[in-house]
Amino acid sequence: MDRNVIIKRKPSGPIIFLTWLFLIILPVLFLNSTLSMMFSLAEKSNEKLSRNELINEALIFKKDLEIPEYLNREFAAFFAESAKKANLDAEQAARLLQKKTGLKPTLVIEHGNDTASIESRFIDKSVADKLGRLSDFFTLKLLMKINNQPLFPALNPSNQKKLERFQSKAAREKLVADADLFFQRIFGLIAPIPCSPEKTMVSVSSKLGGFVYFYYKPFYKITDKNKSIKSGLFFMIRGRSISSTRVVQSAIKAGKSNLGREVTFFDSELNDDKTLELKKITGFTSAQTGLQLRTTMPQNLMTHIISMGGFYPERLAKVRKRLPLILVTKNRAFLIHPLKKYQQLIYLFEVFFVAIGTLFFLRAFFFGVDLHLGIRAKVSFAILLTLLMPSGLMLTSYVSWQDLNDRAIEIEAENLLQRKLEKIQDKFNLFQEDLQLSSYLLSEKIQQNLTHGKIESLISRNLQNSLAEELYLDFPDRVVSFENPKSNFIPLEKEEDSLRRLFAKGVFNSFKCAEEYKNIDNLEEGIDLFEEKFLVDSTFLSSLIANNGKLGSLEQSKTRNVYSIIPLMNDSTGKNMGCMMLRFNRLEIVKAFLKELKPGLAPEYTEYSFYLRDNEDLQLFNELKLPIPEQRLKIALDTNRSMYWQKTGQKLETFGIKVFPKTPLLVAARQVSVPTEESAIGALKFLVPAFLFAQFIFLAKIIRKIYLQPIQELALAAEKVADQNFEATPEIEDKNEFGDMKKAFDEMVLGVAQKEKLSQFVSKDVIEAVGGVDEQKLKPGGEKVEATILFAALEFFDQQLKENSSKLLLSRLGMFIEAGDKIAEENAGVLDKVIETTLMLVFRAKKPKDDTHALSACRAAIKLKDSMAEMGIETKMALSTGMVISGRIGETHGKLDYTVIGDTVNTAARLKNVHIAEPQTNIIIGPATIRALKGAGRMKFIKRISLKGKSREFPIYELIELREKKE
Amino acid sequence: MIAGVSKFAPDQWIAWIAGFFPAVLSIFSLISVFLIRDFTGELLIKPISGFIGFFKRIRNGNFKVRVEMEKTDEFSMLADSLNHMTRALDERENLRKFVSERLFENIKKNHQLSDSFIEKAEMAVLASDIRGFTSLTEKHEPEEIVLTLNEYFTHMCRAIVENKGVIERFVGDAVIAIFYQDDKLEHHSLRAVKAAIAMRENLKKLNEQRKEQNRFILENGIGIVSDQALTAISGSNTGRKVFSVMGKAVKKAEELESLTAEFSLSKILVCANTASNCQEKIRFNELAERQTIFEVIYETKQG
Repeated sequence: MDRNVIIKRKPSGPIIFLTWLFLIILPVLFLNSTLSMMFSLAEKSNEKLSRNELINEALIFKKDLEIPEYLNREFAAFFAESAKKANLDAEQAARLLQKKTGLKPTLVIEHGNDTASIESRFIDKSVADKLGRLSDFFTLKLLMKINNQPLFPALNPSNQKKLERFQSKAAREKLVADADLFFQRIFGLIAPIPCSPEKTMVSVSSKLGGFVYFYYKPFYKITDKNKSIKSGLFFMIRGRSISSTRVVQSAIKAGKSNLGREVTFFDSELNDDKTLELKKITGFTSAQTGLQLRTTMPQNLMTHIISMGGFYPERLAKVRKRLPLILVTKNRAFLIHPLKKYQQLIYLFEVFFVAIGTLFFLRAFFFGVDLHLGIRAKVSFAILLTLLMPSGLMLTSYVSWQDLNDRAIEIEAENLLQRKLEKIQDKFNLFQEDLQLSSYLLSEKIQQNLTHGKIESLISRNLQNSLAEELYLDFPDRVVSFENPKSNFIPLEKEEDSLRRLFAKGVFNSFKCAEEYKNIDNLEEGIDLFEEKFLVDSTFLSSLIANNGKLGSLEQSKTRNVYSIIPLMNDSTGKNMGCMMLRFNRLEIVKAFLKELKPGLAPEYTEYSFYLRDNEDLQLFNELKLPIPEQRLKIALDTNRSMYWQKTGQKLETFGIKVFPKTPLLVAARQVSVPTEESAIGALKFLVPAFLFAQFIFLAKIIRKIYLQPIQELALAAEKVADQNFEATPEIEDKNEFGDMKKAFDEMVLGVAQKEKLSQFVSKDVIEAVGGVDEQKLKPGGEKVEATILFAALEFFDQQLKENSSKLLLSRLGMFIEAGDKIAEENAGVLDKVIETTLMLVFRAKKPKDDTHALSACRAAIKLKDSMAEMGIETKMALSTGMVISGRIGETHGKLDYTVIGDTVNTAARLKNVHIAEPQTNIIIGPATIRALKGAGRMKFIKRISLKGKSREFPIYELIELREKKE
Repeated sequence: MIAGVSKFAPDQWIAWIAGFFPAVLSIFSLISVFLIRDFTGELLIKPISGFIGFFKRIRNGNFKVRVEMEKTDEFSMLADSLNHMTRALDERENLRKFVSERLFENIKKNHQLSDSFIEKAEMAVLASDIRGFTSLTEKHEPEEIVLTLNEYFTHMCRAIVENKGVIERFVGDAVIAIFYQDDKLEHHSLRAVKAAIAMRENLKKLNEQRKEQNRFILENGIGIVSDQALTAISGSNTGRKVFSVMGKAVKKAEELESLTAEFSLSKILVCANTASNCQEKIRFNELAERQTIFEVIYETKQG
């Protein structure tokens, strides 16, 4: 048994699973991983860009941690609070200061108008004895030196004369020298007190032990014309009285709002416990709170902490766990990708997408993919499904590419800047080396001539061709200095000069053990760097060694001077004889460098403007003037990165050249236009949807042409066939599957037409039996029913067949059949079959013991007779009633006849052949039929006949007419 | 001193991603295209392939097959129409059982078959009847009668069809078969005679079976007339039609058949025409009582 063709639009399980995976799950995973990749990328590149900022901040933090800076902040805050502090006496000021800031001054001196008298004095009792008596005279001299009293007009006319004594330069110098000497002696200072008001001064006191800090606050009386000194407070604070904790706390508070400052210790991750080795002291780490930079504390704070007895760094490795470090953090919010804040929304959308998608595919798995939509809508759906993938991919790639592109451009630009910077930096290093080389050559000459003692002319000759301002020769017993008359000579400040001497001494001393420096690799092992002889300035020494061939500066602060320091050796003994120092003005060096650089500058630098950075100020070096707001330039410089202004679409490219290993000194900047968003990438926003839309239209057109049209043709033709139009054929000219379908369809139409034709040749019963779905009805079988059989024949047809044209006769037969069929149907009978010119009509009883079939048969007989007679056609009929076997008779699997058989049929057939002498109606009727008529008919007896196969004689009648009941 | 070593290089990372991304996308979209093809294929191609399979089976003569699909779109409408058409084809197959095969062949040859189709052709008419069938119908249950008739017709028809005869009609217990002239086959008269002999043989076998089953046995007679006759279609243009062979031949064959009860041993009587047509192959014996009527003489297989 062939099963039906079942069209269920249901893809196989694996296909559904894979499609679900590729259309729903993987894109979501893909999107997620792309996003997280983008997020981490953004974070990391932002981290990279933030590093300079952090480094800057760490430097500032370090500076803020230094005690002089701390004291500056504290005093500034203290005096900013109230103007009344001008009237405080020394003791009150000391108490108040301690109360407000926790600083415990050792000495406070209050002076009066025009620094003429000392009003009050406060000395910590514990140190009073050590200090001895403080001379009012010298104290006032010192204060006058600090506040530059001679420059201010006297407030009190009586003091005018006193001040006039100091108007001459010589008197002033004498005053300063006296005061310095006195205080150096009183406090046991190693150097004079460096002087300037409202700025913390530091010195080392042997009497008080360790660092001492001085702060002087003058109060002015300002009139319309003049500014005079009304009073002043002079503080001295011992280093050991300053709490490191407070210093650190204050420095932390001084930080910027977006950058966090902390003091921390090494955490375990930085320690390798097995080898006890330090992985890295300073470095960047990415923490939960943001990007962090960890570094060491400033050296002087460390020294301070050490002198306070915090710990003694015998070996750094041993104490590293207790080594305090500073930590700068950049808030995470500044590092994240702009899309990150929509992450939750994206996740929500993804969950929604996965849920809907999974439901769809589950439905597909259980019920198939069929939708209650027309084929057009389905085609659209299919195309949309097909386009979903490429469009999704295009969107994803568009978004990620754009982002990647932005990042790549940013990083590339930065790298480009970095390379440019490096080129200039290299050139500058070469320039410095040249300087250093010339210094070295000079030192060699001096070395050779030193024993002869004829060095003055040599030096002055060489100095004139040099950039240096001054040359110093430090020997253990004397110091000699030479000015360069051709330079912008500015004498060295006393403060710096003493420092310079110290360095020279340090160099001289350190080279005492030059032997030990021969093997630099064993430096750490062989030499105890904490021995007293090296304590002078180990940083300077190490930088001298590390930056071999470079110029060095004496201290961390940005002074205008740099030095070329070369020890003088005795060639024969190899012993250090002294130290030669060449002093240069830093700006002059850079200017000279730029002069040399400019003619040979590569075209890529010509667009840049060069700035010199003098302390905090920027000076334009060359003629080009950029309309760059200075503030922005400074920010760009401080953060060491390119700046970009959305509004103007302009970008500021800056790079600072670290002329010396400190902050940038030479700055190059240029302003460049940044292509705005309406570029190729912007156009994509419109092109992508337009492309997809065009694709959709195109696909729809193609599918319509090659797919929808044939189907519509088929459906149209099928509709026509249903309307009995068997000429219908689908207009398909394709040679493909649709062509095959057309062929098969045409054959089917032919078959249906044949069926229609054939059904005209069988009785209604047959059509019913055939049309039924019940296969059983088409199997041979039968039942016994009562029926009336009517045989009707055309009279003399055979004879006429010979005589007339057969066509005419056939048309008569046709009319006969048509009338018989119609009348049978009207009277609830069936034209069972046509045997040549004889019609066999069967009137079955619809239910048992129902006799109406006989009446129907008689009525049909008379009507048929009459209608044929009208056309002048003679007929002969016979009726018989009785039990018949009704059923399908024939071959089991072949020809069939749906008919009745039995004696009744035979009787009727035979009665038809009985000849009536003078017929009225020529309708012969048997007794059984008459009985069934129940008196409804009028009959005429004809005769008794004996029938073949019947034992008895059989009376036959002629049916004359029917007595119809009124109905 | 500030120093740090960063192992992260965003530019390298971006370069790597940029190189990697398109390849992943291409592979991904390639697989997706195949999957979507399968998936949309279900929606658009599956009905077509289903119809193609359907048509294939129709062409193989399986008219019982139907298309089953969810009623959603034009495809299901088409499927409905096709199912209707297939049912019509199935009905046609069933209708064929109720009409002469000749009619069907004519319709097949010429589906424009006109209502006034007349064909004059040489043919042999074979008429056969069961002896005393009327009394049998009275004696036995209708089920038994129908069963018997179906058995009988099955055996008879097989003999006719094997000899390329066409069942013209059944009339009660009688069967009328026509052997049309066909140059590709043996002479139609000879085929008719052979069919008659086969019918007799088949009847003998049937009776042996029936005897074993203790059922009544049947006897029949066969008459064959070879003549020219008309095959015609008549009837109304729209309503009932008849396709039948007309002319004396059928009546004559029936007459010969009824004569077999009295005169023939072999129960097969043929007209002179038939006898002369088959002279070389079959032995005939002219009836003494009636001239121009010949009795077929044949040897049963058993001897």
